[in-house]
Amino acid sequence: MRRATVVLLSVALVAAAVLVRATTPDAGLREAPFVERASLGVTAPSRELDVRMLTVGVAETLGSGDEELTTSGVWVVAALTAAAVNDPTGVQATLLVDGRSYAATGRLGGATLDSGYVDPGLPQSGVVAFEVPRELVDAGRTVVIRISASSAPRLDAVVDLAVDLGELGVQRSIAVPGTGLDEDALAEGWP
Amino acid sequence: MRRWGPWIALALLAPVAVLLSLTVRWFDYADLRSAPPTAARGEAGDFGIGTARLDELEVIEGDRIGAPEGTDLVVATLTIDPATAEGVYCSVVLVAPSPRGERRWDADPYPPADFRVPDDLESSCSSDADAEFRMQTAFLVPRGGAADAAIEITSVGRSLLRLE
Repeated sequence: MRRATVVLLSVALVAAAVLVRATTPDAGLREAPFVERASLGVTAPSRELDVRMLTVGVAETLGSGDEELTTSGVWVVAALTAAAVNDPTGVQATLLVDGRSYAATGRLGGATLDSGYVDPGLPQSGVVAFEVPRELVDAGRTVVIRISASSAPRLDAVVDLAVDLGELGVQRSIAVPGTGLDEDALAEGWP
Repeated sequence: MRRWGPWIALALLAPVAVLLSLTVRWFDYADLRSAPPTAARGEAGDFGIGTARLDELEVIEGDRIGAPEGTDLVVATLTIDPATAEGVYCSVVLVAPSPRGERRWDADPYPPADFRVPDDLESSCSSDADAEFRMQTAFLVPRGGAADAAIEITSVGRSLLRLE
């Protein structure tokens, strides 16, 4: 009886070891961010940023002042409102698809929301824009627009908005409105 | 009893070992987040390169002073007394409690048009003055966000003093 117990315990321990080994997170998962899924028009809270995604559009060119910015692909443009939670912080934007990531454009200078800082409780509205291959739109791919306070959000909260590019028509041009305090959001008692 | 002795010892020692290992880490964390020295309103406190005193912290409704509706403008007036003739290089931030933790605001770089620092006051904490001077700066915060607010003054990231 005692011998059988020892054998059973040994088998159970080996099985537990195999299970632990099989379910141990890899390096990427161990440092993965905590994702808050967003939907349009709803404020998504995260540790450092409160984010409300407003609209997403796809266009061939971007209008910024007198300039018309072209790209070899298409522009994906997201309008959003964001405010810091406790400390002034930057807004970082990344577009993720198929294991690839596209950084938000820096070609618009200070006209995009990710070019400056946001303060606690003071929502700023603006856009972030990405240049992506046109094939993504033609193939109707679903992309994720990720907003975070840091450009490498390891073990930190991020806000993700899933966007089906197939549902968005390609416009000829989208005008970039610039950034500023979102007084409507303030008036309604952000967040 | 002798049979259960090792198990009881293990049951006691294992949690103690875990607690001890966490406590050591907690002390390191607590050191990093240590509370700064404080000085009450109207009293001067040392911040390494001089002393600072919060004379007044006025909260003005934003729409009364040309700031957006839904905001308050917090105007802080301080007296700085440099310790040496080399002047002071420092920065001030506004801190205030909120349900999600302590919030911090930097001075508003573009204060509303109706706000103006009086001519006899400096607009920045940093100055090459070698004698006591007064300064005034403004912070834009959401309406009601400055309840129980305080000012923190740092000398180039080294010393920190909280003026309440």
